[in-house]
Amino acid sequence: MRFIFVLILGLAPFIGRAEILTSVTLGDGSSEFTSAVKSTQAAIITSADTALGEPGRRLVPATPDDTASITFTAKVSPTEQTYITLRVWGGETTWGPVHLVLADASNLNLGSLWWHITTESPFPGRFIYRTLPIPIEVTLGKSTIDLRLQTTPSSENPGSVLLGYVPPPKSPNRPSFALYNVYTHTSPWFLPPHSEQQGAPFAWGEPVAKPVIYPETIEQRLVQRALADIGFTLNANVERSQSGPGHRRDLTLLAACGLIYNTPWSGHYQDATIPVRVRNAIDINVQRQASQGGDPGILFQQGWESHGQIALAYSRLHDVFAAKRWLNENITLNYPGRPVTLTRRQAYANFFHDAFEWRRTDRGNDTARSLRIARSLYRMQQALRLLGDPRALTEPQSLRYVHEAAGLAPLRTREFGIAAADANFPAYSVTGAGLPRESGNADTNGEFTRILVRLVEETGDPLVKTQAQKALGACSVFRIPANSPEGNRVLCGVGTLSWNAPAYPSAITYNGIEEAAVLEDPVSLRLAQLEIEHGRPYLLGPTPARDANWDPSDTLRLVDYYRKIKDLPPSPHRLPMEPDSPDSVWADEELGVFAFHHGDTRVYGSFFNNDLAAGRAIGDLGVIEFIRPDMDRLVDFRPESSTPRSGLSLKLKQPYGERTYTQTPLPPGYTAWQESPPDAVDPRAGLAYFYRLHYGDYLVGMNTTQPGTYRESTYMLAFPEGVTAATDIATGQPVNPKKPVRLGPGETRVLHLQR
Amino acid sequence: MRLPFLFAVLSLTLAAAPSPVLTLGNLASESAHEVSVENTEVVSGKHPALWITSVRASAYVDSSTPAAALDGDITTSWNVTGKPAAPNWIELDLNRAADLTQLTVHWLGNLPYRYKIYEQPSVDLHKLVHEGMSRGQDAEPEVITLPSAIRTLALRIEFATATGNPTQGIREVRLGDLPFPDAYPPAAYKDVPVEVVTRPIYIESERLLNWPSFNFKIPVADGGIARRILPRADAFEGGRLDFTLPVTPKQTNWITLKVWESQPQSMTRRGNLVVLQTLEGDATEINRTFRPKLVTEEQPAASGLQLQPGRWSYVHFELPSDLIGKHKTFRLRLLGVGNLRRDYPMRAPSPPIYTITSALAPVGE
Repeated sequence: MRFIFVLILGLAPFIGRAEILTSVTLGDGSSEFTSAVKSTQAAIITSADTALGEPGRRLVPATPDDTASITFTAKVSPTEQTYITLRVWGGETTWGPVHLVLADASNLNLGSLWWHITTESPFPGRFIYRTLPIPIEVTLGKSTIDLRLQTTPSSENPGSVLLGYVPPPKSPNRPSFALYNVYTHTSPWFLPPHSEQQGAPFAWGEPVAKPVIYPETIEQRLVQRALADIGFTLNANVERSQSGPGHRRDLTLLAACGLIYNTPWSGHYQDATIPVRVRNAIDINVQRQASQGGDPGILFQQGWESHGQIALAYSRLHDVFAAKRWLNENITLNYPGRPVTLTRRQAYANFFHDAFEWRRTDRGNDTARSLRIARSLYRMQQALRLLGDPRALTEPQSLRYVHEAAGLAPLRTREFGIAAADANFPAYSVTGAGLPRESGNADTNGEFTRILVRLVEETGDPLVKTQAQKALGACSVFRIPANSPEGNRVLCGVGTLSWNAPAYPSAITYNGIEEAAVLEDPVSLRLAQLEIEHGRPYLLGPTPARDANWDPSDTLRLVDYYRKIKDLPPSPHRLPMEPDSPDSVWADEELGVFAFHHGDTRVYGSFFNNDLAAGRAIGDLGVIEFIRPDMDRLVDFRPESSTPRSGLSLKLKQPYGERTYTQTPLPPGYTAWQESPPDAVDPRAGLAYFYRLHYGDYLVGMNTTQPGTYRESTYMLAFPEGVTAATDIATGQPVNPKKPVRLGPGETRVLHLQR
Repeated sequence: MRLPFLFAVLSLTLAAAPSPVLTLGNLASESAHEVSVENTEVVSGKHPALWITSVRASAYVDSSTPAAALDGDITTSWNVTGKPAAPNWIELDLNRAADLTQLTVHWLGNLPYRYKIYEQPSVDLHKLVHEGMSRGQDAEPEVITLPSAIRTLALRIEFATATGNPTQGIREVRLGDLPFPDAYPPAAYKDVPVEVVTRPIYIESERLLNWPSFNFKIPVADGGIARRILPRADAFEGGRLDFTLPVTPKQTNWITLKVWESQPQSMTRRGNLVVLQTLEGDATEINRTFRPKLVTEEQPAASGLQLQPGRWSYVHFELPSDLIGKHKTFRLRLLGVGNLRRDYPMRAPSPPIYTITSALAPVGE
């Protein structure tokens, strides 16, 4: 069934420049007088070394009980959405919280203005423009309001929140970033006045140079690190079983033992002491599970992967266990009040079988957790097959858990997923474009290709390999040229679109060498070769850092991975955001995410973000990171959207009033969208069928409906008034602005507009 | 349109419409309903007149229950040990009133047994028909010929306790001249379940409320042909059975499977659940999956005293009117999925499905 809707929203005039309502230059007496600026513990700061020598004000509470603030009178639109934009120096080193409060008797808390996880000097040498919508409920019918920027939320509404709010840190008296200018305006697009200074345009730094003290080759350094980890692993105490902070590392080390035993260059190849240690360690874990009544869940505090790690440790050394006939030996398990003697084979089989049966009952619905649990289930089944247990699933059956978590089979770990699959509207853990459904983009938990690579290795499944290639292809869109704090050229991820932990800037991310060795595709090879070209391996010391995510198996494998790819010819692939890449558009309509590269402009956006509706209904917050060489814009905006009427809605209370959020039409056979528990709902209840964004010179249209589903629809993207010419960025072809553009299901267009 | 042509079209349409009842295993019916299968099997069974449906005993040890005397395996036996307070007995229920002239008993041990045989001509009457002494040898079975033919619902074999014999019992019992050992459910089907139930019984006019009885289930009905959907080792889901049935447009239609159920647990618990999927229509109609809406059972014994060897069950799927729309027939699929959450592979063959019916209400009973 197809529908064609003509979107009549947003026929606003072409706006090349936002209508600026208020302009406050902090630290400038005349400007502050005009906007009635009053400050408390927000002294004027000036430094020739920062912000190009411009004055600003920084909120610095004197004590933890104090609130530093800047109050000003803002002009707002009585009828339209008003936005506030802060001008912030990208070389800032303090990022304490800043909240927006309505400075009247109500003291309404309007939310946090900077909720990103931010490191020092996120955008050195240039300004950042941070734009957010002011809740329209407080501006309707008014032409001015008094606003206050302060370091703590309003005490009258301590628990109130705004869009995407992240609780403030525990030390609220941290100094904020310095504020240089504050604006209000009526478009999410904000064009700074020409009079405003900008920093020097971004230039990619030099690669990391090879240190003076460094082995002759990268390979030698990797071997050096691996040998250090092997020594560490073999000296560690793995013959114990504990639950708590340490058990994860114990089990990681235990699993690595088998890899060391089987690696010819490890120096401990077929070392007879290793299997004995592993056997003793597994025995201890099996014994502890029995002594706790046989409940696998309590053994490792409901851990996702713990039993799977033990299974991996066993599987890597199964041949030794069989050859030495250890499996036929009897062991006595001390179940409470009833010791039971049985063969080691049966004891291990019961251990893994019981753990599998427990763990499969809760496999999660977020991608990272689902993948880790699926990997654990797969490993336990592999161990059961090696043990010859009649309860073991076959290899193809075990793979289903992996396929489900990797987005190759409908997600059925939650009620919403089961119902969706029954309705021919299956939910997948990974979108068709290759992004994890968990985070909405490729940041933090969304950088999930490493675990997929492990699964490719462990399962040998070509479908998983293809899926991993697709996922890495999607993640590779989220690689932007940046400079490290030391000034070296790097690729960074994009964290501003994240639903659960927005970050600005995101971490240095390649995910190349291991991926290239396993996935054997041009995208991963390009990432690997850039990682090497940028000199990142020269930063590796002789000993790994051994942080929380450290795994000695990774250190070992990296040697072989590097050997495999180091002499490969250059990949012909270019990442979409590389400087010499052509203009391009990429989108994931299932998540409302888009990205495009147009000349020296790189844009990441999401129509669907962490607003209060939280996927249970169509939200009212979109996010853009708009990157140009001389400035970054971090923008939250109100998306225009269109969806057939469903008659379904949610009412959510805000400090400034109650908002109604509509839900999308129900899939066939549904009687209602599942709304709880909030972490296990189908976010497509809140994915509008069509989104439109007019931002600066760009017009973005996205049809999120999927062909072959009950949503399948076609939409028409209308141009703003006054546009005389337009170019499709993906094709470079001109588009007639006199006629709306037809967007089929699952189609996104980004147009460059001209007057 | 001319009238004769209209009649011709109408006749053709009527002739093409398949029956609302699909009889599985019947080639003509399967052809008419365009049945296509993958990983299914055709099953059938004809149960002998003296099929034993349940067995109970005066006493037993856990490792040698009365059911072992009917499992077709002479290496297992029904055993009693120690010194019982009364003669030991084993009682066998038949699936119908049956004529009997002889039985064969393979006694346990080499000491002779003084035994009695009772018939049960009605539900609450036990009547002695024969008594004697066994030959006292364990090597082979012993034929016991009754003085005259009897018609009975059950049979009891009783023997006096031999105080000098710590282990007494019976290896196997065979009624009439039925082939040994295949004539009894546990021997005929490897996957036949034995359900232990407690039920009231009368012993010497005394009503004992909770006496364990070993109730033999049989995996296929008596007579008829059916299909079972099988699990697969190479996949998570099991086999499939595609078919076309007529439906009534714009109405809620019910698809009912008539299955022979022999297990006490639900299908989802056993891991052999089947679901119904739609194979045609637009995006709102195709690839929809329906789990059983309800399952009903047919209990043929109104008295409630006769243990059931199995039962007819009816698995009902509801197809809503908005899905049916203007369809006059619907292409559908039965798929073996194991359980409702579909988080574990199909583990066991589905119950045998005898018919699939399309109607405006659940069919059965």
